[in-house]
Formats: sequence, C-alpha cells, structure tokens
Amino acid sequence: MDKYDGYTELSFIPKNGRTLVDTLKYHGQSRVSARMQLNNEDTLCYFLIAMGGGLTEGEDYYTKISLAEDTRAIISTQAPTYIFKCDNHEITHQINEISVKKDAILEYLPDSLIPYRNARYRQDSEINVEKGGTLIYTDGLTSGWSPDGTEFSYEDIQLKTQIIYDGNLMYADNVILEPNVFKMQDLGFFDNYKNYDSLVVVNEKIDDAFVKELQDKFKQQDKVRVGISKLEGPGFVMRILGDNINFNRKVLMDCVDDIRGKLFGSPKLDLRKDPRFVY
Amino acid sequence: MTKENKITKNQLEKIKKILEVFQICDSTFPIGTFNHSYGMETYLRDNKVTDNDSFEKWLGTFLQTQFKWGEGLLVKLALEALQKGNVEKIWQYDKEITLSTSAIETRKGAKLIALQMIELILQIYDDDSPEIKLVKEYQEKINNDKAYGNPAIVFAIFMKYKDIPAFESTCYYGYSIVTTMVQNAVRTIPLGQKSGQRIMHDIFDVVLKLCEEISQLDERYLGANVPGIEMSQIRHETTVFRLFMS
Repeated sequence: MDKYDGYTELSFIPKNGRTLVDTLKYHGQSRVSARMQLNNEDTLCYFLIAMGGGLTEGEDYYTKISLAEDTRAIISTQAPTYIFKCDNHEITHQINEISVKKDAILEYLPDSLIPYRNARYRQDSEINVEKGGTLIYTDGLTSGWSPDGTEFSYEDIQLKTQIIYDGNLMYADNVILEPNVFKMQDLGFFDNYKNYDSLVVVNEKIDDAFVKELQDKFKQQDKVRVGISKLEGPGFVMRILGDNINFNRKVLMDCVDDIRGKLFGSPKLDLRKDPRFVY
Repeated sequence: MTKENKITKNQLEKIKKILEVFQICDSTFPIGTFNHSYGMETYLRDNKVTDNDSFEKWLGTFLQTQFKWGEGLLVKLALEALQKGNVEKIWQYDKEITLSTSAIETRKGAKLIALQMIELILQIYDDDSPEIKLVKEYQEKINNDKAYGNPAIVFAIFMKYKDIPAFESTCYYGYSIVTTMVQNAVRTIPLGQKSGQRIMHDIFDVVLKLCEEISQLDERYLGANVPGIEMSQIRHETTVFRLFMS
C-alpha cells in the first residue's frame, strides 16, 4: 500500500445476520469516515475522504472494497472529489477494486468528480460480482472548475469500468473525454449539457421486463436527458446528461430508491447530505 | 499494341482484388446497414440533426469517437491478430467490443449485420481457404451463442483473405460506413443526393486522419465512447417514431 499516494481498504463480513467491518485501512492522502448513521435504516455506511478535498497531479490512488457473502454496505464520499490541475501534464490515477460475493449488496454512490482546469485523470474500476450478489454503482462528472469559469477546461479524462459477473465479463464501460481535442459542448459529446452521471445495477432479478418498467418510469424528464438499456446479463445501465448536478442527482437517487424498494424492500436512501452544502 | 503496354496478369489480379473490396464496401451490398442509423435517428427526432451541416457534424463526431475506438480499431486489431495466426484473439475482441456497447440495440444491430455479411461472403466465395473456413466458424459460433458477432471482425477476415494491409483495411471500412450513413441521411433527413456526395467527399479527410490515429492505438482503447453518441443509441430504443432498427 506504500506505493500509492492514497490507499483505502474496506472489507465486510457477516455475523449473526448482521454485517461487520473486517478491515478498515487507509494510508497517505486517503481517509475513511467514522460509520455514518442513516436516518431510515441501520445499513453500514462509510464515506471515503480525499485529504485536501481532491486528487493531486501525478498521484496514484487505490481503493479496495470487499463484501463477503450475506453482507450489505453503502459507500459514498463526503463531498464531490476535485481532480486538481495537472500543469505538468502528469496523469492522476484512481484504481478501484471491488468484490461482491453471493447474497451481498454493495451500494457504491460517490459524489461527482470535479476536474480542475488542465486536469488529467484515469479511473480504472474492476468489479467482481458473484452470482446472487448485487451491485449498485454510480459514476459522475461535472464540466469542471476553472478560475475564469470556463467549462470543460480539463485536459483529458478516461473512466474505465469492468464488471465481471459470475466469472464472466458482463460490461466494459470506457468513456474518453478530450476537451483538449474536441469541444465538449458539441453534438455527440455532451450535446450542450454539462453534467454526466452513470448508474449500473447488477442483480439476478433484472430482466427485459424489469428494464422496460424502469424505462417507462424514468425516460421522460423535464430537466435532464435519461437513457436506460439492459446489459448482456442481469443488469442495466442508466445514463443522465443535464445542466444542473442536483437535477441529475435527483433522477439518479430516485432510480436507486426505486431499485432498493423493488429488490430489497429498503426505504428511500438518506445519506444526510445537504445538497446546498454539497454542491 | 506494343508489348510494353500489355496489362500484366499481376496488374489484373491486383485490380480484381480492389474491385472485390469495393463490392463489400458499397452501400448497396445488402447486409442490412440501411436499417441502422447508429443513433443518428434519435438526433433527427430531437431536431438536432436537421440539415447538411448538422449531419456532417454528427458524422464527424461519430467517426472520430465511437467508430475510431470501436469498429475502426477492431478492423486493425483483428487483422493484425490474423496476420500473426492468433485466432483466439478474434474471439476475445468479439466479446470486448460487444460488452463495451451500452445500448442493447447497437449490440443486436452489430450481430445482425455480421451474420448477413457472413452469409453473403459465403455465397460469393466458397472455397477451402483458411479465411473462408474461419468465416464459417464465426457464423457457427454466433448461431450457437459462443460469439456475439461484429461486422468489423468479418471484414478483417475478408481483408486477410484478400491480403490487404491493416491501414488500407481500416480506411476501406471507414469508407463503407460513410457511404452507408450518407445514403441513410439522404433518405431520412432528407438531404439532396448532391449534398450527400459533397459531404462524403469532405469527410474522406476525417476518415484518413482517424485511420492514421488508429494505426497508433492499442487494444486498451477498444470500445471507448463519448456520452452523447452513446446516449442517442440508448434512447433510440424508446423513441416512438422509428425508421431504423438502431
């Protein structure tokens, strides 16, 4: 773990029908919050914290999360993660390694990434879900931050997510954004929207009818553009493009709540983050 | 006729090979590509693609992103694997390109086009060459759910069969996509036939540039995408009025 500038490891095990933390380690620029008490449920919940509020140029960060059989946990972040400027063109790298065993449920719901002007970022996530396990995973990216307010002033970003279900590759998402080459507002890139969010859900019960129901419920939105499609296996992907991060977030969390209710009879998720404070 | 002006057998064989490649790349080669808009129709229904300029913009973006990292790169990678005799790589690429595609319609479309391309190639070329055998094997694998099916892989096998190098192959494949998309746009936006040809000619420089870039890319880029193009392909599924299957 010393070879990383920020290292986080969290693992969960079952005990008498409850979930316990087995490993909680962090090192360098990474921290983990104390257990977060949620309003409506007693699911274990932790926030990942980047010291200084973000990731620094040229540094490597590694996060490992493992859920043993029959465990359940929610992982989020304390606030949006800034990717600081990379004036020397050195790439900042985040690696996520996630494992969800049979009958375990992981909700990985970080806040959006906010890339600074000139930021360069690579994110590689490899997620193994055992047959019978559930993954609820989000990724989000804003148009970034720059001193003069220029949008999409980062250099380049690549977000790679590989989901392996029951030992077989199920989804290999790979988003490449190059504002240094293309105008991100243009047709085909962000279509004049500013914020991008993605939700992937994997669970044995997800079939064509399940996805159709979600499409009927979420496809028409006033303030954001939403797309939902079934993956090659028991899962789906939801994409959201919008102008305001709170509207994106609202649709994203409405869908998460819908899934939680339908699959587990869980209440609406309240991470107790004040949107006015967070965004 | 002097001896010097006589066309050699070598020249004839070379030009025949090129004509055979043209045939496969032509927008009238009936493999069903006229049924697929690669998400363009969603932009059409949303009034984002409405005329020559907006169509050209869409086509340029599509080619320089999803096509470049997707089927364009796939032609190069598959052909290089075949040149090294590494057939296993082909099946791996088939899986990777399919599973990196978020829109279910786009995956289904690729499979349908691949199967129709295979069928037509097998009707025209029926010999014992290793490439034609491989085309048959691919067909069997797709039909038995052992492979997903992608036309860029079928095309790469055909290019190996005709002994065409990787850079030329990606350019020809790019040409086939451009000619098909322009015809689809002429029919549905609609555009004038003459404007369509002008756009097609303008976009050749884009195709050449991106194929040059492809020659420098490795398999880590395979299947990469951008949000808007992907969103349009996902949303096509739920678009009410549709002329295209994807």
